[in-house]
Amino acid sequence: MSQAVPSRPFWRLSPAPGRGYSWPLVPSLASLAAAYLALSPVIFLIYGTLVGGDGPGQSLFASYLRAYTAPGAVRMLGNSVTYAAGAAVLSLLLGTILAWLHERTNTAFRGTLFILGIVPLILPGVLFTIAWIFLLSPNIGLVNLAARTLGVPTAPFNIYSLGGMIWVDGLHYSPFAFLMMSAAFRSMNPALEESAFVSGAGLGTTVRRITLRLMAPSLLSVFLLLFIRNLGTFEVPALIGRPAGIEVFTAKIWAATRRYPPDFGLAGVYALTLLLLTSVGLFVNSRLLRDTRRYATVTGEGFRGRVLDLGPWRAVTGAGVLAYLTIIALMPLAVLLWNSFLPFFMPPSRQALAAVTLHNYAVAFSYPQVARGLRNSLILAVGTAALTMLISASVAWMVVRSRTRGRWLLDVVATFPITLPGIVIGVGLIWTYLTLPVPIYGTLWILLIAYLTRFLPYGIRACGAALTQIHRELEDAGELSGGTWGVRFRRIVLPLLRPALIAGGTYILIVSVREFSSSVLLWGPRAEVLSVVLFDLWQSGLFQQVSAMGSALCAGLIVLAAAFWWVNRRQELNPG
Amino acid sequence: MVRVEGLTKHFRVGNRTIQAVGGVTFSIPQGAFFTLLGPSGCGKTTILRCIAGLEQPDAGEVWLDERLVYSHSRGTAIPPHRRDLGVVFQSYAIWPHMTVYENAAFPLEVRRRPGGEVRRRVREVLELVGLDGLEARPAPSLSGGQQQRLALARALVHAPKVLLLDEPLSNLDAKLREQLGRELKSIQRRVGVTTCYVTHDQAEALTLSDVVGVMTEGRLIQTGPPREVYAHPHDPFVAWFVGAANLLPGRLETVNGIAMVTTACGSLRCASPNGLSSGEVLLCLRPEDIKIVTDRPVTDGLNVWSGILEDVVFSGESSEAYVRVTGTTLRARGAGAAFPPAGTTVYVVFPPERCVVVPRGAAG
Repeated sequence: MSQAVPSRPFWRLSPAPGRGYSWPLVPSLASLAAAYLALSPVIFLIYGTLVGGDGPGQSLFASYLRAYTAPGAVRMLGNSVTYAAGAAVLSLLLGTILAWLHERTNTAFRGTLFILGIVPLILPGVLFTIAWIFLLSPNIGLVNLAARTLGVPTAPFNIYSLGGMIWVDGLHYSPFAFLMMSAAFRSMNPALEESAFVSGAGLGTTVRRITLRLMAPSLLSVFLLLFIRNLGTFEVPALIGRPAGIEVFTAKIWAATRRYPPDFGLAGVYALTLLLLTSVGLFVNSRLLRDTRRYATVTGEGFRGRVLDLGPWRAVTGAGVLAYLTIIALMPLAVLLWNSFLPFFMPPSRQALAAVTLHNYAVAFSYPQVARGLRNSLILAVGTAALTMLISASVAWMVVRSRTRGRWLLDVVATFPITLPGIVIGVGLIWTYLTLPVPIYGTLWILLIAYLTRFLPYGIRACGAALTQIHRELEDAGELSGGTWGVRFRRIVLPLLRPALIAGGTYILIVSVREFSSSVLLWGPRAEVLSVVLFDLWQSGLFQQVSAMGSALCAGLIVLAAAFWWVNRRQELNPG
Repeated sequence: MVRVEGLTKHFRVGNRTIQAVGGVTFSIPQGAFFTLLGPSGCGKTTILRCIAGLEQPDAGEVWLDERLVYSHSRGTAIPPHRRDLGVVFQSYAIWPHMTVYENAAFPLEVRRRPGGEVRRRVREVLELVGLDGLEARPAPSLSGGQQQRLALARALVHAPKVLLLDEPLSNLDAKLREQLGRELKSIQRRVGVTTCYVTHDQAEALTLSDVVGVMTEGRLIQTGPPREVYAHPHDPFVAWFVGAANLLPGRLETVNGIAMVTTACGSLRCASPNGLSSGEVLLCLRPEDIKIVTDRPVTDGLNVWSGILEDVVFSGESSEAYVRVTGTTLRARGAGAAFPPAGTTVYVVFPPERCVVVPRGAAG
């Protein structure tokens, strides 16, 4: 049947036999919108760096010249790479060890890893970073103060260093490495290791010669993903790197847009350079993944790994797991909460307990920009989630179901922004809406566009995966019953996609509330969002109010994440 | 040799505990080919993994070559890499990042054998399994049958005392399975390694083994040479699982040294009452032992029933006939197109020496 219908390019109208024009307007418009959102920031970024910058009459490459001859440019490149690679190594090291313990051993507290272990992925980077400043700052850091009471003369830790930056970001994304490596362990046939054991190799030899070799492509791939992500991260470079005088790309881009007059040309060049670096990483990664397919083992299913009995070491590794969970989840949350109840910074003591107050919460929520940020963040999160899922469902339908030619291209273009760091999208959108005669710069609209651009690829992937699970015949049956495209989409496709739409929408709610690295470039007066307000209050030295507001935000996000988990689980329990 | 005594193993599934193996005891003589045969989930693979040391039993002992490698009561648990075994896994578990040679040489290398010996042994063993000439091939480029041969080579290269095979032929197509099965048997005989083989395929078990142990629900219910297990099942499950069988419930009585079983279809004289003299039993009649004729045979009338041929199914080398005898359908097998057309009234003849009595057992 499908061969009988001639394929046609998606921009061409074509009559369906006997029924006049049945051109699905909605998915075509949605696809156009997705393509526009994906392409415009990059196109205008390139255009802007070449033509804009110093105003009319400048030479074509003036911004580039200025960017690369600026003092400290080489050092910044070095810092960026060291920081991104260092944090990636730390995340990968922690994540791999934990994944191995979780998938292949009977370590104590195995079950808690998957629940508590992913808390940092829920917390906004601004808050995680601030929490660690409260813990490791040389002056007020609780860990340093504790060391002093134990008799250490000078503060042993200084977070304001490259090491400190690597520590915070490495910890923050270690759960990502844990999830990825867990999946890698699960897809590796444990018989490959068992056959080494029975061949006479001990645990050490087996890990060295079999496990690590087989995991090498996965390890390298996860490292690259982390490296790319770290290059584009902004929270740690802004909150720790700048005070410490350690510049990286993202912080430099932000600084260029915030100085007066703003130098968008410089920001654009640095953003493009960043994009180039991440693209190279992604290219290497895709080559790698192609190579891993050579390693595909006989059966492709997931494996119930043999559980290695650790014996007495079970308690030791269990203590390690607990220590890890304390460091990544408990300590940051506890220090925020502790601070939020105090009139000024104090280490825990009886006096401090006596001073506990809710004053900070009252003050924080009385600030007009906090109220506005809360309202704006909510509007943006709900709007982004709803629009993203609606557009995603239509675009995914176009890619998976329609018979138009060029739908692979649509898939590539629409999911391409997944590779763009948030700050690059931010600079790209500045250039887009300073060039186009659409006056939305500094309003909520540009933020909405930024969020849609960032999160549409995730929605499209989720809906595409769900659509391929739904048999085409269900829809064909609707068509044969005489339903138009709109009726079929509303009555058949959307209800069947509902689980994916709800899960995807909840996820996008969470990431929209957390979003920072695009927002920090695009917000304007009266168009603040929560993450930016937090950052602003921190810059103004209102540490206690930041803690109060942060604690409240964390509580809200954790509730949202729990709802996400619950929705997902319910769907797994009763599919369809 | 291999000795397994009182082996018991439980698994926790969620918050329930399931017994996978319940007190299994057997021993495999030096150089014998022993097969654990049973349906999936009967615990046979668990036993194999306990022998290999990949699982720890909850009770019992495992001896390999007169050496105690596991004892729950004595607290002995030799790890798998010190048990001197060769194992072939169901998925072959060929290491994809190594060549054919590197895969086969691994057991010798981790034992730190000198280079000359490694090269000589690997060449020998690859020749033995018919993979000579493919040494430099990357392992993932091998076909399924070749991977299976390589897995066998890797399991034998260090001349282990015991070879364990976990359904090694189940991932191959029917023709290749037959060929590799025969090769496996001949290699095992030449090398003389004590072998424990696990399968759910009764034909495979019967053709390959010296001794078969039939398992169900974590218990070993009958052990013996293939012919004996096939001809004289001690248990209804064995009769049903090993080969095809017509199982008729009946009552055994012995009068003047002649054993007779009375079933709903009539009485049959049995030459092999399995050591029983009376009681409720099952009569096991193999389809190929049932003779079907159109004329009433000239006998004393014993062991002949009459019935109607309900259906004849032709399947190439043989045909199956379904005969209805007073309410019960019996299945008979004959060569080629040996049967009269369906609907014919026929006589069914049962040779007394092929009428096997199986104790009904507790399960009935």
